[in-house]
Amino acid sequence: MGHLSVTVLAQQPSKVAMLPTKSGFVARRSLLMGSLAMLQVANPRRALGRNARDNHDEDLEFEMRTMQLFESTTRSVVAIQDLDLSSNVAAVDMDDGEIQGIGSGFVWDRFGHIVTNYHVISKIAKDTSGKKQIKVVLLGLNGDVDSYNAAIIGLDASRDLAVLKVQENLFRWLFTFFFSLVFKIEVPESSVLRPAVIGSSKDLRVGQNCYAIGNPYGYEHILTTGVVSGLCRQIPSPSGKPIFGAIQTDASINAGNSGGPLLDSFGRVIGINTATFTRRGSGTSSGVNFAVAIDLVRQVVPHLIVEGAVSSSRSVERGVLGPPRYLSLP
Amino acid sequence: MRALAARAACENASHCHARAVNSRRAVGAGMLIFGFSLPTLPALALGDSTVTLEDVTPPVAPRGDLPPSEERIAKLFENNTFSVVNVFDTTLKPELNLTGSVEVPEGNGTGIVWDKDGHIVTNYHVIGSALSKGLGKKKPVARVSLLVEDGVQKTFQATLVGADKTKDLAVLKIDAPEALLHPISVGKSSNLKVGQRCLAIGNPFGFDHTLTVGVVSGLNRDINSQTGVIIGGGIQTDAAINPGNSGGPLLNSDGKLIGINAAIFTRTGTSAGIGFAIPVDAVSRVVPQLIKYGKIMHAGLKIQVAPDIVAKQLNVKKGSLVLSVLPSSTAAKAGLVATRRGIAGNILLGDVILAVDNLSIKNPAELAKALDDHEIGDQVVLKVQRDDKVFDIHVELEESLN
Repeated sequence: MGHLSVTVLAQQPSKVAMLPTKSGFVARRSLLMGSLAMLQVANPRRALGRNARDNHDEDLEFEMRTMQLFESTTRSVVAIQDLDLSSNVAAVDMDDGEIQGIGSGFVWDRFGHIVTNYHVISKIAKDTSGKKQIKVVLLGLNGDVDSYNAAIIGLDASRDLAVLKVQENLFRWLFTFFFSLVFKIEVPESSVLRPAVIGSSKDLRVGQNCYAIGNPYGYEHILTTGVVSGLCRQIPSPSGKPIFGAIQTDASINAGNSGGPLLDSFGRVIGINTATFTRRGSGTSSGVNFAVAIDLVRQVVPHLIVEGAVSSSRSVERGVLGPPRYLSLP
Repeated sequence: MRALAARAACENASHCHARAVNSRRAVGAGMLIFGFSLPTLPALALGDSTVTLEDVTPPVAPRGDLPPSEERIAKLFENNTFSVVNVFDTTLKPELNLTGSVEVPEGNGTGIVWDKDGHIVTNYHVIGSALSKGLGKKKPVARVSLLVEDGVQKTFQATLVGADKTKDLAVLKIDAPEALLHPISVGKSSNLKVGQRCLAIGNPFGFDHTLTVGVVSGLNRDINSQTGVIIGGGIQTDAAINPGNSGGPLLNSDGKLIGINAAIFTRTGTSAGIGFAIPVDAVSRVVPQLIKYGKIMHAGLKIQVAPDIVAKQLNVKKGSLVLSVLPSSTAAKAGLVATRRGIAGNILLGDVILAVDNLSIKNPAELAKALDDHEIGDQVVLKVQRDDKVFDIHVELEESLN
């Protein structure tokens, strides 16, 4: 295995173009299908269903599907930024500092826990000057962008995972508190939080589509697509120990979407975008990219949240991932 | 280094035991009365004791069946991956560099099971090291790993059956039981269309049986192969092809072989979305000959032409300079003149071939490619420059020298 590294790249957000409709009939059908799909999508906990279509509409439908998937999951993907206060010594206000986008993450639950890669925040985690603050940027309910402070809850360098928790700032908190007092309604604690729908990586098949979403700047989502290229791969972790059961994909994974989710066609998270294979010094992706499998993440993250770290190591993998799984003869 | 240890205690005790909106109210009231600190966790506090494991373990959402298009590709891969093998040139040694990461040598490549006799087709340059060492036929040149059920790979010694440098192809043979051999189904490359879907299966960087998907990006490309020759009629694809994919199959959406991945255009050494495959029609012509005769008879002339460096020194800028002509050859009979020394010891340039059948030739590689497109016995017209004169020579093609 060669030198695996995550490299910093500037990525243009890719916009999926609308296909011109072929005929009025098709347009009406697609609109109906589209709106039906939108209705289903409104409840994020339900996986996207499928109706029977004929091949004629398949390409148009694939594009609509991709767009809907992106729109429904985009609010769960957050930007993780590093606010460096050390550049401005006299700063009193937390917002006076240099903000640098360092990666992506996604919302794990309604309590405000954010899952990302360890390597995305490792520099801040090791920083002792107290002059660095992690900021998490979410898309709000009405499309506006909100930035929150985040604290590190759990770290696992051996699986390249980290858990953050967003903290509301004082003024926003006071506002919602008085709002609920005055109007006597319960303001849901996490109305801006849209937890991602979690899937499973054990029934993945090589060849199925996958979508990597990132949010490197907080308002510009990036979507890359590809197929599952291989399963049960072994990749190095920041601690040096290998991560087992990684998903290989040819969807581009780079510094912008690192830490963000890898989704299947149903909008479920099947992995965390983690690394790309680069030849030493080139810094460009080669089409050989990796994501940590969601089954491992789902086993480890609750412990990271509650305890801050995982007590035992290898037993977690064996219980979750099983022996390397391949195919049976046709 | 493992995750940082230390579990920090919660700052505000009441915050730790309450949950949801109610806690906010209680704390808020308490704050307003008693103090002015938000319940925040210190910078590196680890562990959130406000939640239990069940709270933060989300359910797994079910999925339906895969959409038909994805199901097709998944099935295509499952049906054809057993025809793809790992080829490792045994004369190469893996280099371990100082950082501890193993550099995968170029000898690690992919191959295709051709028939039930155990013939494996791969690129010439994948086993180039063994071939350059002059290992004869029937000598073990490589290790071939077959994929068997349940993810186990079985490795076999492979012997060389034949190799064709001009098409960058080589045929190996392994002694494997028939039950383990799943020959690929061969398609056609003559009716390919730009834009049609294609799948590549290979072993990039040592990651075995990797599937990448793309479209046919272009047809009839000239491939600058690693053997130094130009292969015509190449299929261009944007399916990610990397070192290690060489020798592997390019399949169409029916699972039929349409090409053998051979080269990439790149400035970084890894895929940039421009990959090239040798068309299967050329492979279908070459491989049976290699299996039957152990070699390919290429149409050409029994002459030696000057390599680019020599031609430049002799001030021949365009065309192919003839250095020597075999005395009994058809070229000699047709009157082709070789480079020779004059009485004074100076060099007298031989004929410079400028075109073959009106197809202009810029360098020796183009000459070889133009002649190779013909059959042995064909009559061709060479446009030749001798001193200041340009004229035509008719010559019959025979087996070329190399």
